[in-house]
Amino acid sequence: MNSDRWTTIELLYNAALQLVAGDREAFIEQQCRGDESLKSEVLSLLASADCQDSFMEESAMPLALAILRSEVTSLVGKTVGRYKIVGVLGHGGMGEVYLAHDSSLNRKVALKLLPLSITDNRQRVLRFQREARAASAISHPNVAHIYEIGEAQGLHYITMEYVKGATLRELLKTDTLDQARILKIVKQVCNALVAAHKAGVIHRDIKPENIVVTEDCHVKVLDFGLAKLIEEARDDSETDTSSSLLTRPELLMGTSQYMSPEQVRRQTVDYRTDLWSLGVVLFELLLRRRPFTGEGTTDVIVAILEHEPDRCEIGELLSGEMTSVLLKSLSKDPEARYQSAEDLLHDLGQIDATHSARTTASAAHVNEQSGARNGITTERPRLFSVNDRVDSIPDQTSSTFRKLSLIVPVFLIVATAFYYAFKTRSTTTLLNSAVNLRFERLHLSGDIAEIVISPDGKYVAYSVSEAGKHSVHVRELATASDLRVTPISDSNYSGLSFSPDGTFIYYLENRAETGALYRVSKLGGGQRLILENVNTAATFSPEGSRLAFIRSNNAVDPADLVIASADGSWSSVLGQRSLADSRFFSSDMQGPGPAWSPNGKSIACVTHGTGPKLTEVSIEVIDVESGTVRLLEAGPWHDVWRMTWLGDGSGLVVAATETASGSGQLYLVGDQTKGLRQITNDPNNYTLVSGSTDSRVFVTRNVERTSSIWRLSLTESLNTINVEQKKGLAEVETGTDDRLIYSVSDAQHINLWLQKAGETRQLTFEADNSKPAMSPDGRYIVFCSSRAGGMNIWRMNSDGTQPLQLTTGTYGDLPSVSADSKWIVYRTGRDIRKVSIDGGPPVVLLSREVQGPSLSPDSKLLAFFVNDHPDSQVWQLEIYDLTSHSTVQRFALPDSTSPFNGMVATPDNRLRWTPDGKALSYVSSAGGASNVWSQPLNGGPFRKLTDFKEAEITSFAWANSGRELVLVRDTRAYVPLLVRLF
Amino acid sequence: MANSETVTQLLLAWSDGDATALDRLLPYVEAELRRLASYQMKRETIEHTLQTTALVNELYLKLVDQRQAKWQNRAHFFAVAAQLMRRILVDYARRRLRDKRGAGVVNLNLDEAVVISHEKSGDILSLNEALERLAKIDPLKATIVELRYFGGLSVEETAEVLKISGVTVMRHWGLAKSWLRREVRG
Repeated sequence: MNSDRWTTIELLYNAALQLVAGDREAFIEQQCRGDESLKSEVLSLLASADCQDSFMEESAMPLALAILRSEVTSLVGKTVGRYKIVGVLGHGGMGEVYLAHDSSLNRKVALKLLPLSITDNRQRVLRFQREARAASAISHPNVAHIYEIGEAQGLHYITMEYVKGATLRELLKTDTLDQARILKIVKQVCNALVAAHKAGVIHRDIKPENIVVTEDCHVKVLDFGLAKLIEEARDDSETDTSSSLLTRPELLMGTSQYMSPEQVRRQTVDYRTDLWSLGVVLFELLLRRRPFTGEGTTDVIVAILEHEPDRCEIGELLSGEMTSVLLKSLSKDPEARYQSAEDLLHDLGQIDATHSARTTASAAHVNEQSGARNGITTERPRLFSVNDRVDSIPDQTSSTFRKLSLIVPVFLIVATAFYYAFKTRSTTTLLNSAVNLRFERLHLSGDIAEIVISPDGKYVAYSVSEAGKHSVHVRELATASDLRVTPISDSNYSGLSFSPDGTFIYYLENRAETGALYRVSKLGGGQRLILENVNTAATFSPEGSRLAFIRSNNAVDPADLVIASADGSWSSVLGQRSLADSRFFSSDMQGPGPAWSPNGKSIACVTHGTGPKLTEVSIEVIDVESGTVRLLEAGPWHDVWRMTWLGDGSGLVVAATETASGSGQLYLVGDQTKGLRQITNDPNNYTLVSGSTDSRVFVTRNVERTSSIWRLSLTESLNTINVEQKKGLAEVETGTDDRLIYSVSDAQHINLWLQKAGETRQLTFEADNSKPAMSPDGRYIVFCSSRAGGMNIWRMNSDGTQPLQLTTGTYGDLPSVSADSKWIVYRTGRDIRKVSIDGGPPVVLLSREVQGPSLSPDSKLLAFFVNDHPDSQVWQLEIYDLTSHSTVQRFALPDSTSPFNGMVATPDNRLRWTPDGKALSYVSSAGGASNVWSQPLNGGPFRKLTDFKEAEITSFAWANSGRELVLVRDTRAYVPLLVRLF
Repeated sequence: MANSETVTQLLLAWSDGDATALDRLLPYVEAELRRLASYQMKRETIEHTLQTTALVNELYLKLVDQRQAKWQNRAHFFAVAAQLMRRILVDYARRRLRDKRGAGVVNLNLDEAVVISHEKSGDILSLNEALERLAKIDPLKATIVELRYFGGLSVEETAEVLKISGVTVMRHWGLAKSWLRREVRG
């Protein structure tokens, strides 16, 4: 809408609202001066304004919060490992804590889920597990026992003894605690620390939240050893750039007021840090305020490091012994503090609780204003560096990286030198030079979903799927040795790529709609999460510092071309396309990702047309600096599976399909309007391509389809009578005299074949010919053909001679021949028509859009699939009487046996009447496997006629008067191939 | 520490017109919001309206350094929350409808208890789409709707974020609502 018009509408609307309701219409009528559309626009808005409903009256915010809340409680009722989650206990910097039931030991446990953002670093998780195992070895009545450190469904968790009681924090809020009780509690904490420190475990996070007191005043200290993990995560992320901090807010939330000076300084800590923290807890319990506070985190840190507790105030309130215990615990210098928990325990034991208080601390003394009054002395703490047992675990990551940092520059120099040598040597570009290919089959085990080659051409990385389990492997080509580099997972891996220096493999772990980009060394080891919400394989700038990918959170949302640093620490959007643009980025997780050009200046992207051009796929080249777009002249394609740049940047090698019926072939596509060169033209179907930096060796994959015709006897409990393997089989039809007609698809075309008494002959030889149906008198074969443009109904003699075009529209499909062999019923995009078998004008029988129409054996009824709500997947089977022009019967198809099984309906899915006309049969993948199902017309239950567990039935037909079923079954195998260019 | 400074700075940058600051701010706010929401759930408070304002206030106090922020920043913060709420609702509604269509995507993260019905999900999505169309015709009105409807901002708060008068907000809000009602309800 243009803005002037909108302004006019707004003016009129507001002016009319000033008038009494009765005058508005006349006013608008007069103002619009005959502009009817303006008038109706404004009047409809006014009518809407008069509506007294609750539309948008209440903010939707509470609803959003309810959703958030429901997501938080989500795990309740679910099972993690052997634990059933029964409730939520709380939350903390370390993730949610749930009450769970351990089914094998029949006991309640507290289950703590560690946030993914903390556990994304494998090394860190391993170190943490080591720590937590040490903690689990502590057996002491005052230590909440750690039962298990586990991992299930990708979630890391810890289960702990479930203690029923109140935390000290809760007690501080509600109870008044006398000093005897305070001493009793603190001594028990001290006992817990003695045991832990003996076992070599530092708590690091002693605070009232981690101390639970049961009703009979028994103390349990929680979370031994866990604080280390969050500290490490925080330290890791702070050494990164600031943007990674933003993605991990949970790491930043706690600078605790209980932290020791050495902890705040991030120095090495030892047991004495726990004694400081316990001192702070004791202070708070006694004086009902914290010793080191401030308005913001910075103030708290300053207080911990610089300010001394107010001795005068403490001295006024507490006994001399207690004062000295407190002050000694809160010495900035660890050397001046208690040197062990036993020492503190000893001094606490000396205090006589009944005489320790000069006055009783109560709420009246609570002073929240400031914890940092003028100290009497302000010592500057010395630098402290005691070698800590637990902290001194050698850091394997850093040593590995030291080694890598030596290797990488050398590799880069070599690679660069090689690149330039190669570039200067070639006089013509790779794109224009003669190409000879040599294929070599790679023998890898398992179902190979994806495969890519390393930049030096010496390794391949590939993803394997086997029995629903997925993993990524690396093979060194020279030695044929394989290494699995990812865990075996229930979710798919896709989007494989090598970093330009060849040391890392990047891959996507597929989530619901997007993936998480991980990287792993080609030598295996820890996986590192780089970025979330990544839809395609990452491609790298030549020097390897940046990567690019497509991000789209939802198929209808705009898709972004995102550039990020190779470690994921920052990212920015280079281009965005939505359905409103003429082309949008392909964001299919199994599809092609962008490809960064060898000179680093541009990125090639695969785009889909929008609207009616949805099936047109193009390749665009986008300038990295300016974002300007150039469309490659070659194309549009039907599909672009993968692409990889030629090493000299003169063009791309593309695995693509030119037409809907074509198979994937390899092409060279010029960046500079050099057009298109097809470099393979064979019956194979190449759906992947990845190349080495020097473009000497590529890897691709052939989808090897094996199809076969099966003949089953229904009378002899599904005995298989005959199986015949034939390449490219698509459909099958049976005819009189036990004839079989079937269609075969090669790389270019679909053609019809006839098989009779063991003899086969090809019936058609041009364009695409499909959907065969034989006339009951055996004279003709009726079929669809594209040989005269569009798709029309044709007829030929049963030996393939004398083809005759019967319709001349743009689309005619699924012909059935009447019982008297005189006319043909078929569908167009909009309706059902009939035409004489000798041609002539067609007659519309039914003006409805239906799927899979099929004429009954007596030609009186037409059966088809209908869908009353185009967006829904609820399908019904309808039987329509062609003489009375009315619907006779409708069957609701149970969801599970929907013929389209949640997929978009395909017009190929054909209904077949049983030859006796008593039932309708069709193929469904209900239950996961493709089988033939049948619905009796008398209303009996749906029945599964076949019982296959695998492979796909692409077509079926009845034979031998309904005693036999003929099927086309289709299996796929993925065969990886090395392609050498010479 | 870094947290309060960073959120504050991002918020200031955004209210000064740096649109990119919002993208960086959102994940931060969302994480904290989720944390608070779970905590609040534990407290089992039921009064939605009170709760909402209180929650965002709590969030604001927690994330933003009060000494650096001007009082107007609170309103800006609510605007951030508004965008977040819209996204949460739309994402949820989409998931819900997809589950209904039986596309085979089972969302394990959602409580089985129905928070929003399928019908309501459809309403949210059509409102969201209509709002996107409105944004093309009249971006200011669309923003006002986002702040008020999704963000729960009052007229005054909306006026402050957009630096326009309350009367203007009301005028735009009225037409926006009429237009959206017509688009959504037909």
